[in-house]
Amino acid sequence: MCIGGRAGSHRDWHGVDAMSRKSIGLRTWLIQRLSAVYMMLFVVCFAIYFASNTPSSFLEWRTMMANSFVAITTTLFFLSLLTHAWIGMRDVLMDYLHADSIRLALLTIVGFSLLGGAIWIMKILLTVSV
Amino acid sequence: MENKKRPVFLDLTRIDMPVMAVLSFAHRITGVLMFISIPVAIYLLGLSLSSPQGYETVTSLFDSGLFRLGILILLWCFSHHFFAGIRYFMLDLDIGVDVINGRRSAWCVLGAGLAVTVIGMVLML
Repeated sequence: MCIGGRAGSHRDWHGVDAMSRKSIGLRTWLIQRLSAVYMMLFVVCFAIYFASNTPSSFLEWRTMMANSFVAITTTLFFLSLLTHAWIGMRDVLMDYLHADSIRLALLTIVGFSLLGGAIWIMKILLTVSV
Repeated sequence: MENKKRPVFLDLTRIDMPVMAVLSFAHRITGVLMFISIPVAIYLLGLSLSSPQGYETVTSLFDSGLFRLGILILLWCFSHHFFAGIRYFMLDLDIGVDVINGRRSAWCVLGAGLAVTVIGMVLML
């Protein structure tokens, strides 16, 4: 049994269905890189934008974040971050934890925490109004 | 069956680790540290946007030395992870895969991460 390794059917046993397992790994690899590219672009752009329009009061800060473009691109940043963190944490936990029960418990905690974070940040950023 | 009696040598203090290994390990540590700080970041972002009092609370946190230290550690985590990520992109594109260039780029990543952290430290002083 391989928790977190997405063992679908009994054919996955001992890598018999190696092709689909490889393509799942490839998909994960791609998601990790696409989310990284988006975060890199966002952080650089946001840092430049923030440095050139640094808000000096609550109202200015809130006005900046209430802008739909800023709010949506920032939400996308956090969703990329949480997805990226899920793949990274999953890889780390699967490398160091080999007992199925502990692995499943921690992966569940991490997964639900990240899902909660996604809902939390959407609630915050998508309801900001001036 | 896996041979459970096979010799395993994993004394990390005695293995001579190349700089690429240090980099790879640092990539993981910085990632996990940033993962742990995500809820704090979301909480502070929400607080700063919630009310003028919340905004004041968050901005006044920067007066605390401990908070600044935390920000600096996270800045190192972020910049290291960022540059190491660019290095992994280049390796994916078959750029600098050989030992000499791999070693060179690994040192560059370590240096760039520390450089950004020092710049941040100077800006915060």
